[in-house]
Amino acid sequence: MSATDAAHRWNSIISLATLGTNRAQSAPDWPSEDLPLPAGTTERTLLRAAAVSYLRQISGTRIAPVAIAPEEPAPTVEGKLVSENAAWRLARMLNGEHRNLVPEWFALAARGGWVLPPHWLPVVLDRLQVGERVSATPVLGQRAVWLANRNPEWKVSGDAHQPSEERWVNGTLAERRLELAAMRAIDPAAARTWLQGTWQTDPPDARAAFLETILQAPGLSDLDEPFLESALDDKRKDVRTAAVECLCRLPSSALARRNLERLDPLVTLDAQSGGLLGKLKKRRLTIRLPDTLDKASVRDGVSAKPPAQHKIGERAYWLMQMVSMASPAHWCERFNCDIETFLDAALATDYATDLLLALCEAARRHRNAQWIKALCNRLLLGPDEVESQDIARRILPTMIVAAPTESRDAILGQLLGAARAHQIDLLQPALIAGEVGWSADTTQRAFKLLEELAMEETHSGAVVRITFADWGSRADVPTAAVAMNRLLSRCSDQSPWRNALEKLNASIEFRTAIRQELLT
Amino acid sequence: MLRVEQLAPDGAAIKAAHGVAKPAKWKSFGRGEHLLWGECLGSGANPYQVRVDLTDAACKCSCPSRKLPCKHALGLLLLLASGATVPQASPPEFVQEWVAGRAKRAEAKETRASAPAGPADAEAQSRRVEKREARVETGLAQLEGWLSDVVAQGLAATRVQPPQFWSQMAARLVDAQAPGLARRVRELSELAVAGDHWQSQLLAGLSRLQLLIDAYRRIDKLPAPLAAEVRTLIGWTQAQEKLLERAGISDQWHVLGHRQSQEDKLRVQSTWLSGAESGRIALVLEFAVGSQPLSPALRIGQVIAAELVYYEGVPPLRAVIKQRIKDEPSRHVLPAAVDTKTLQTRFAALLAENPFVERWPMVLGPVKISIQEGRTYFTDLSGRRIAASPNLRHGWLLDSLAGGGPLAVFGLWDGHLFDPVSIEHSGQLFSLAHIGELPVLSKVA
Repeated sequence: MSATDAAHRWNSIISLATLGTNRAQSAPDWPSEDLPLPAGTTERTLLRAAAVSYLRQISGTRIAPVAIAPEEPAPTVEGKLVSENAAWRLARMLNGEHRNLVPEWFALAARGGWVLPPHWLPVVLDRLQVGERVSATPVLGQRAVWLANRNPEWKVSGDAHQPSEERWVNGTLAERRLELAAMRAIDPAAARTWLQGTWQTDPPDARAAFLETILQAPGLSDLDEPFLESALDDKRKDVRTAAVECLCRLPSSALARRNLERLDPLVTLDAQSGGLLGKLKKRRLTIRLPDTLDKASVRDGVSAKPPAQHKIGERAYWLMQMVSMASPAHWCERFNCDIETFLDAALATDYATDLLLALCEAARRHRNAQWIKALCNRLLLGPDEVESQDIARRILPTMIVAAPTESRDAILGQLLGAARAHQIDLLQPALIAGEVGWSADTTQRAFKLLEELAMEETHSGAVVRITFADWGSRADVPTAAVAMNRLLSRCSDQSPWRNALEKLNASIEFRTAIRQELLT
Repeated sequence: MLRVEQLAPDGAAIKAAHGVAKPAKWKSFGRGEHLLWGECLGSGANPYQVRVDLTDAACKCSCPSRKLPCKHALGLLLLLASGATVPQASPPEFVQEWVAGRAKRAEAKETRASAPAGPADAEAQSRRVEKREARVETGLAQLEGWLSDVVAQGLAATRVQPPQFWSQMAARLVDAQAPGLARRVRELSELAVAGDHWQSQLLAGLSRLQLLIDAYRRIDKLPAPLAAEVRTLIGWTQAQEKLLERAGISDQWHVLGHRQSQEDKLRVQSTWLSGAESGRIALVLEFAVGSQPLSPALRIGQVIAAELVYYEGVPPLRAVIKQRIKDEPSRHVLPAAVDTKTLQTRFAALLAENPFVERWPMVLGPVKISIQEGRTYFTDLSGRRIAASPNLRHGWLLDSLAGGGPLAVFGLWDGHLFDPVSIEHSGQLFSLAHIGELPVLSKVA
């Protein structure tokens, strides 16, 4: 019997069995002339025939060769291969253990020139988040590129998003914002041309959203001013507000100039007196509130009425909005003074808190690192009252986030140096907000405060101890390891701090282990 | 580190173990020549007392965890593996008690094994055998009726049956003391809901059950080895004590693969060995109920000089290690591999001897990996291609490892699908493993 016959016979028995002997009209053929047909019911005969056919079919058929298309072999893996121990650790991390440290693992591995062995790549490629992919590329090596050609799910989207005009014109609002941001990053002028092309027909929500994108994406410049200025007359308030936000960040814009023209006559700082005594004398800031609010001011983004929960007079509110729009650097230039002098004078006025908040907003808008640093200090060292402490707790994290990334550590370090132990919970939100690693110095200061706080067993207060575990991913590892050893040896087993400290220590130890395994 | 992690019952246990794998967590710890112990500070008032025998990784802890090894024992092993200084000392009382207890139990087992069966025993035993024969007969009759029903209703109807349809039949076979048949019925239930070619696979399984029933009824007419095989397939066990009295095969046994699986409430540890001189392949099984520990597996790549005794079978496969003589240097290669055609021819020859063979361990190679629609395929040099089981989750790992080049694969062939257990790639061995749910290829160090 040929192989085709065997397969054919097997298939016909399968059809019969699938249907069932109750319904099938025909009885199964007995497949063999050599074997006697055993007596029995139709069902048993079918099963016995199936057994014979199956065994014949499986023993008798052979897989036919197929022509294999020649494949591109993978490039040989070059570079130092990550050890198996280190790779197991990475897999454990991707599986959920200290998941937040994955980017750090890749940064360290890349710095050491390590490459992952090929048999780990799919585990990693399946679980890396899009944002983590680019920094991981050198560690994944050439084999990952080869693999991505075989599994499109792993296509490296490392190169920047290529903007498409088609999607800009026809996409959903979210897609259009992505396209606009991508184009803005490559060619700001072309992005503006896109925007002006559809502006007249875009619905108000979309117009507001696009200006929001212009504000957030890089590339905002004086060249955008004429377009943004025209948006100040938009019918929708959201659009006007967004345009103001963009324009007040351009110090040479007409809006910024108009704002200063209104603001400058209202704020004066005494000239520096001559002589030695005069140098020691504090300079005095005089504030005059605006009498009226004209239409031009409203057009430039000054709201007439303060929000209901904001306890401030209307006229003071107008002034503070103007202050918050002006670049803080303006004050030092105009009065020829340093930041501290101006702040001393401002905080000596009757409007101290309102001015502080307005200047904070100005510093955030203009991302002025020096002003942010000075203002953070003032927030921290403000009067020891509940209200000003609450303001500090609320405002400090926003200041850190607004500061340029490279200046955040220095600001945190300074704050930690100035803080008293019990203020650490006030700083905590700010410490965690800045997604940046701490220098050894900052780490040292942070742990010194933590140690003081943890040893002061009586202080229980409202400190949420477990949030300190978040330091684990930010602290400088060698410094923190030393500090942790000391801290744990001093902290008793019964201490309410024990649990939080152990948790913090666990991530420091984990990061130490990562470093040891990726030593060059 | 890797080996400790592979002892863990699950991923959560590894994670928890890393939490206690630091000196600060321990009130005390120490080690003797082959013992490791410690007192772990936990949430309770008293520290948990942990004892580990390093020779076979047996362990005991006073904690209430049902996992074995528990996180404390794993943590202590990790601590040792991480290079922490563990002081040498003489074991404290709680360790000595445990060691003494273990020795006593082992001795009792030995005595039981060597005690000669008296004449009274023999009589009682033959009565037990008769009783069991009768039960098995009843079970076979029930199974035969059930098989006929399935075929009468049609295979299509089984797809909508609830799981109880299969599990109840399996349970009746367990009651009838035919656990081998029960296992086959349970495996059928998975085929009925599986994807492609399910009818073919299901009918093959059902028809071979009928064949097995027929064979058992005519067991007197079968050649002795096949008769023994059929009895084993039904579920009669061969007494290990009797086997150990026979002379075995002394050889350099090379560990090719290792796997743990769950069968009902039983955990099964399978280890495949290949004799360097005899060229024979052997499967050593170990079972544990519930949280009972399994003795640590022989490592893949390990070579032991040992005497193995095969269970009766056609051809013999399952074996027991009678005597382990000494450890030889590890070998990180697989023995001679065959191509797809030879694989099929050998399997056909096996079926000619024993039509009940379900799967057989083989080394396939050199093969190239390809993946289509999530399915992994092995293609040999002649372009003949076979598929891996559809639930294989290591396909891309194999593809990445091979990088378009050839691999040798040790695994199980069932006539349709190849189920890989371990891999050789340029002089390196890898086993298919998991971290929690994550599939990984573990490189054999």
